[in-house]
Amino acid sequence: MPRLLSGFLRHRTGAAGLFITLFVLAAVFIGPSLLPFGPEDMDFMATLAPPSLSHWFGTDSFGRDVLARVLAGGQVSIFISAASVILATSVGCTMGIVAGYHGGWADASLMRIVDLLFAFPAFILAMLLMVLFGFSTLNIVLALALVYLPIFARISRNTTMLIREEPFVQASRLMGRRPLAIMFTQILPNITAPIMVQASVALAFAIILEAGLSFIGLGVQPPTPSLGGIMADGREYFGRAPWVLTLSGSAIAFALLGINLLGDGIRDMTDPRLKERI
Amino acid sequence: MSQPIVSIRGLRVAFRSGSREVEVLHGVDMSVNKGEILGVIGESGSGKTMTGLSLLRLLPDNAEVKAEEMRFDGMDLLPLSDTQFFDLRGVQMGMIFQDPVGSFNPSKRIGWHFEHVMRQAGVPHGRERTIHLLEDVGVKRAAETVDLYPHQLSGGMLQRALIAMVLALRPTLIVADEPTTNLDKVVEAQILELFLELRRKLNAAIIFVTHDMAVAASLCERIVVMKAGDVVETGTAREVFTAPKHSYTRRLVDTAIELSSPKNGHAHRASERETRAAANGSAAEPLFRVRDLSVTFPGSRMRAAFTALEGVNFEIRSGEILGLVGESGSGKTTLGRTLLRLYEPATGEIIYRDRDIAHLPERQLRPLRHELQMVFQDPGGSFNPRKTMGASLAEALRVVGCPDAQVHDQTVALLERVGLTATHAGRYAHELSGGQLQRAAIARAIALKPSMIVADEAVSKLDVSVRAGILDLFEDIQAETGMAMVFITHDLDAARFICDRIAILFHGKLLEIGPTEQVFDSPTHSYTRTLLASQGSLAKLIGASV
Repeated sequence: MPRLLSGFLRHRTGAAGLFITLFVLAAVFIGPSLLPFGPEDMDFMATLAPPSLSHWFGTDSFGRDVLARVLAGGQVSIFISAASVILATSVGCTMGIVAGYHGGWADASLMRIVDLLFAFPAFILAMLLMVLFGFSTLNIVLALALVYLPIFARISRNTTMLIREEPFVQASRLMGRRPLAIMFTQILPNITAPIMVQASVALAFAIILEAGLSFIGLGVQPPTPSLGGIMADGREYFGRAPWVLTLSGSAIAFALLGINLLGDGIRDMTDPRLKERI
Repeated sequence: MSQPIVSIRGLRVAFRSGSREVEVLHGVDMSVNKGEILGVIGESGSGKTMTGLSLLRLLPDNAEVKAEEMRFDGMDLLPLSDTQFFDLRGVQMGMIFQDPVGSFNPSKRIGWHFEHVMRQAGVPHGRERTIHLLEDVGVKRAAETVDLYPHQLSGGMLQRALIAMVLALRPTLIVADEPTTNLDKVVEAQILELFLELRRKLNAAIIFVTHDMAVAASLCERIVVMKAGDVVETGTAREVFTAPKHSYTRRLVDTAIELSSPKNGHAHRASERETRAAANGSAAEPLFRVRDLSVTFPGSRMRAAFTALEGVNFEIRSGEILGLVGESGSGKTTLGRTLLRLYEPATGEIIYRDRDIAHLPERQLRPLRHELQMVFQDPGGSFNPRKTMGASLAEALRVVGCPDAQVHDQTVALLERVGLTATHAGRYAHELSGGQLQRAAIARAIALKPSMIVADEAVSKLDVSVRAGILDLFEDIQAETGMAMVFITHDLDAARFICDRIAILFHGKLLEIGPTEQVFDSPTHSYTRTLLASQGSLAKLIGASV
């Protein structure tokens, strides 16, 4: 692990991604306790105030500190997207490995489900699921997980099929070990690299998707602060107070930049062919 | 003697990786004359391929090449720019690689490659010319071949096409890197013949990189022996093979000769086995009885079903080493895997210990699995790259119910039994050499106390100097445990060295089976005779030249 970390620090974009991501996490989880304002604190004397030393991101129409709301919304957003990606990864990979290892009808039926989910554009599917499930934080997690599950199922199935015929997998089979044991001890450790990379990409997309759902009112419901909600508010007053929309949007962009660079770093570090050149 | 066409002095190649720099060639000297075939022999990692690649400037970007002198046809190669060099490479310097498949663009027809190369080199081209060239290298039905895609040709045919392409450019130097290693013995002999013809026609110099002593001895006039990035010996083929000066060369030559000589002490061991079998009272009962076995692989919409094995009958006696010999595509690997029930046969019976396992479902097969083990061809893939050797062996030991407290001691005992040490338990697959991995794979197989081991080309990817050691280990372990062994190989030398009986397979049929000496000395089938004739064993070659 220390070797991986030192390699990471030598990889310039990967290191930048790691630092940005850590900074964002620190801001989101420690930041609110350092701010003098809570996300719900209203100050009617200072509605739609421009950015200043006391309100770095300005205030919204209720006089609430936008920075405090962005950080609180970010916390919710990161929880939701992380939970949904973890759920999507575990369920998707299980499906993919089982399908890839057994082949035949197991493969055919599991992959048809995946194809069905793949057929919808991500945002349309998420909207559909939210309408079907009803609005609650748990349901957002479930909807996002369903949207990203097919990618993980596909990747793990394909990589499993590639290594299924490898001698070490056959050797394990020849020992008389059960299929489930082979999948977990032989296959899973060898397909984690592409899944890790995909997970970091999916995390970034899940943040956008969650913000998008909240933006159109299908996501986290007020008064819980959410990144999409803040931006939707900001759009209404964009003429008078452009900082609400632009600064909250920039905050999301900054976080996504960090996660994407981190993903690039993970990809380069785990691909031995690329590793040589760094 | 004429002026050498290529002369290299003090060639050093280093690879940069991060801030580290690893030197792989430490000052190589070699020269080739016009019309001469220079053999470069050595084991994997000796730098023989690197030498060829650096001469052709085909090394990756992170390689740094330094040389005191590098001349080609009187021209100094070192100051040439990449563009100037480009005009030389592929035109005056041809190259032929180990893997003919990789040398062709898979989505273009054979004819396109010829057009492309010949137009670029500015030599006369056209369909007729291509057909003529292909016919020259012995491609039958050349007119049809021109319109085929690379995947529709066999490895041997592709290698011929590649040689024809090089021939078209009439180069003065050809660098051939293990051009016959992926080919069957019968095809190999034909390709080697083609090289001799190439030299005769073009009077070109050929640098022939190979690890196969017998090939080098039959083809090359002068030999350069390389070891770990250094040239250890240079001389005429006769000098090098009959009176090697360097101890390393001597070891290489001795091992090759030892492997190609008939099994020593064979009769002695056979009688020993008979007494043992008699003591067990199981001499009459075979371990495996295979009746009328056929294996088909299902077709898809695009292809017809493929019959890999057809009506195979034979027996495996307990405690014997049975060789399955044949060329690629003969079905020998399929047969081995079907015995282990990694494949389910279409028809026929596989009776193992009085029980037909041919169609036994996986669930019922599982308790039997550990009795039948396999050692794979590819040592690198035999172990989970994320696990240490110790963990892999422990997995095997637990399967046969070894108590946790004893796992460590047993692991060490197994490693020591196969000639490794306790320190290897902590190593990962990529930290071991091919020979060490194959030893560990044998350890894993015997950990399960099998009644039979199938060794699928278990030594064919190993260097010659470690090959004998692994074969000896197989023989020792087999004698010690009394288990049966099925030894799958295309290498007749290795088969003769180790097997008690040999079965010859050809196109999915079992042609003949019998005691090793009988198959080698009086083969009954005409194909077996062709196969035996193609084998140029080093002992024979040297014997002929002395």
